[in-house]
Amino acid sequence: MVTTSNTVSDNIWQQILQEANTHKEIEESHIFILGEKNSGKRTLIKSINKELFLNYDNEEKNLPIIEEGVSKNSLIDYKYLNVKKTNDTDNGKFNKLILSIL
Amino acid sequence: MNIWMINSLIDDDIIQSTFKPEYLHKAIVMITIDLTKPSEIMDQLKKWCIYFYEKFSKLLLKLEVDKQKEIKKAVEDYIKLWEDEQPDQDGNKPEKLSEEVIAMKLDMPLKEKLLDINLGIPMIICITKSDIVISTNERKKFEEDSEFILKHIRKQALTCKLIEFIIFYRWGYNFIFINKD
Repeated sequence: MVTTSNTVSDNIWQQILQEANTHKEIEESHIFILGEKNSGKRTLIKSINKELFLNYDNEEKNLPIIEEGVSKNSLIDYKYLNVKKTNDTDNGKFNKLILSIL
Repeated sequence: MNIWMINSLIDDDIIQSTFKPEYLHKAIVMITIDLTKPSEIMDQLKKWCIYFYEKFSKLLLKLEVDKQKEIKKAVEDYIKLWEDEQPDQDGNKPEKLSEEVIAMKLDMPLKEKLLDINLGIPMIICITKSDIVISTNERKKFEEDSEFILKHIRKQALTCKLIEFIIFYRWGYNFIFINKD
């Protein structure tokens, strides 16, 4: 029974991830961040996001960013975020990125 | 853009069943290494390099041979054309490469033993928590050891035939690329 339960559980997680994989924006670029727990992965993303976010005007800064773009929730040992890419058309600067929860 | 964070050696099936190999040409891998635990740096690095190779080589093999060659060549060309964009002491940025130089560089083979194993996925080693280097108590220790640590990390990157870049990351600051011979 234990084996069956684990199998079902695994399948549920895989099903969830597979469904997420059908999201159209999943076709965009991907960054895999590998590292030990507490090795600074989230802070790395937060800092990148902060640097990029500082360049936005006030209106854009009001976009709903949760925890500066990093979720505390994890899906198994496996997290993923969706990053929206926008163009700064006002001053013609380079493209910038904002992280948000998928 | 999507960011996947993996902090344990998860089951093969998860990546295999959720990440489609067709997206490999738009993927990049970053390995975060905690500088506050210098004795574990090399073990961490080796562990994640092996993980990266084992998992992503399987994904790569699912692609058609032509597509595999295409993404491998893209990484190879990127390495060939990589230039340090850090400004010099006067703040001047290096000039962009001319078309002639680009063509010449692309024709040249890579350095020996560099990128012998190429999965077509750029990889970056990111050393985190490096602010410990500038903390008062640890500064002297790291001033003495930093060259040694970086030498061995770089050697590992080359041994794994990965990209020759190491990113030195510091809280709140931009990336500093270290790729000096």
